[in-house]
Amino acid sequence: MKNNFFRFLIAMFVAIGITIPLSAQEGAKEAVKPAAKKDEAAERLREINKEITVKRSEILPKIRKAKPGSPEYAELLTEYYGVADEFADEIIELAGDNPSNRVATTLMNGLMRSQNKEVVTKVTDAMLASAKADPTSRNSFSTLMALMSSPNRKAAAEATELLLAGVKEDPKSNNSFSVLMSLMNSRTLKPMTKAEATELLIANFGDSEKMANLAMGMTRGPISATNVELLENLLEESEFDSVKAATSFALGKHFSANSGTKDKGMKLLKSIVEKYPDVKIGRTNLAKTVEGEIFEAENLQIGMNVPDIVGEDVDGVEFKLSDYKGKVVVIDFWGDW
Amino acid sequence: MYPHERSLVKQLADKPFAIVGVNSDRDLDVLKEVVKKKNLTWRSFQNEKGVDGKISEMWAIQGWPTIFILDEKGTIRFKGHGGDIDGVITKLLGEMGHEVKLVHDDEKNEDNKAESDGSGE
Repeated sequence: MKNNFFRFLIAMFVAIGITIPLSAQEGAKEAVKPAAKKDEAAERLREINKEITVKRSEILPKIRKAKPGSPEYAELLTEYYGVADEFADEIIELAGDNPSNRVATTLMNGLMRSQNKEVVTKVTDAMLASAKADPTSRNSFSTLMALMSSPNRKAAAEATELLLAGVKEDPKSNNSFSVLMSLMNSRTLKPMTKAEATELLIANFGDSEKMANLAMGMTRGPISATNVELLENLLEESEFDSVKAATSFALGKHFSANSGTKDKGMKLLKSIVEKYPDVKIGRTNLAKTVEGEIFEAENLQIGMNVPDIVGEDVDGVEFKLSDYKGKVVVIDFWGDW
Repeated sequence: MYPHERSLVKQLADKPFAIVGVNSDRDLDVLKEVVKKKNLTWRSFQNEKGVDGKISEMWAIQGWPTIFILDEKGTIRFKGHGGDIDGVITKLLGEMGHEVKLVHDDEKNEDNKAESDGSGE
């Protein structure tokens, strides 16, 4: 009933919208109505958001106290994300009618984290439908990017297909770069699609500074043989210091993680400190980061003699780690958040 | 984390054992407040005040908390973000001839107690 009434309202507003140009004076007055409807939706979305936030803020302290990984912790997380479930239908409907409303987008993304499969499916379907309706809008792009890594394989595949179509249309755009990057780093995709994405990246961005981002994307964990080759080529041929530094970083980490190629890896890492001391990737000074990693690899492995720390305590009094020699010492890097 | 550490310090008070913190909060006032309120009985370095620069940067710390455990000679015997810390401590003290058995109270109770007794031992 409510739903029908809602549709009727929309139909009315559409009709009014069409008649505005015909009688401009009256129209100016009437045109307030759709805007009012929009305000009402925005207001309701804010209300829902507030209610969810309040309920979640009651659960959050319990989560902070629970041990990560324990059954209790998992239960609390389920409860935390589940708070939004009861609003799912309403959120989906409001988001569908107000695709550019930010609160709606946030709430929709939040629903994706629900542990209730039914809710997730509903949200995924709705998001996909809205992105399909207007695939070139900025909103749709971020929706599709989010869906690409969705556990719902069908939705992920459809989103990937739509995004790849966009890449074919404008392969050198920033969006295309983002799409290809996340395809290449995806854990769920078939190797075929990954290889294809890598090829497209090289073809369209191989000679650009963006390759530094690509290399930085490979610094966590082992790199496939194909990508090692790709990075080595980039290191050789790129004209950008940032690309050379970033590829040295990725390759250096990759090689130094393996005892057989450790020396080669450490040499690459050290080359960053020597050759590119000022290169920044985003806000990170790469040489600084690498210095830490080298120090860690050479001094902080199990079985090594710990390097001393000299510094000040919270009262500004100087003390040394070596003051505690002869005792079993727990060094605890902590922060109160 | 704090209740567990407080409990360790308390139980191992007469053993060759110490906790040394490296705090990564930037605001010293906040830090002092935490030390007082949460009754932290062990000494902490201010991360920013290492003589060689930021300690966490130098040590390439990538997540908090990160724990290192050293034996009496200063050899690194454990590093990680958690795990069987009690087990490692027990083993290392055992190597020195100190048999210990660590038992922790329910963490919540421990937290409340420390709040009220404030003795810090």
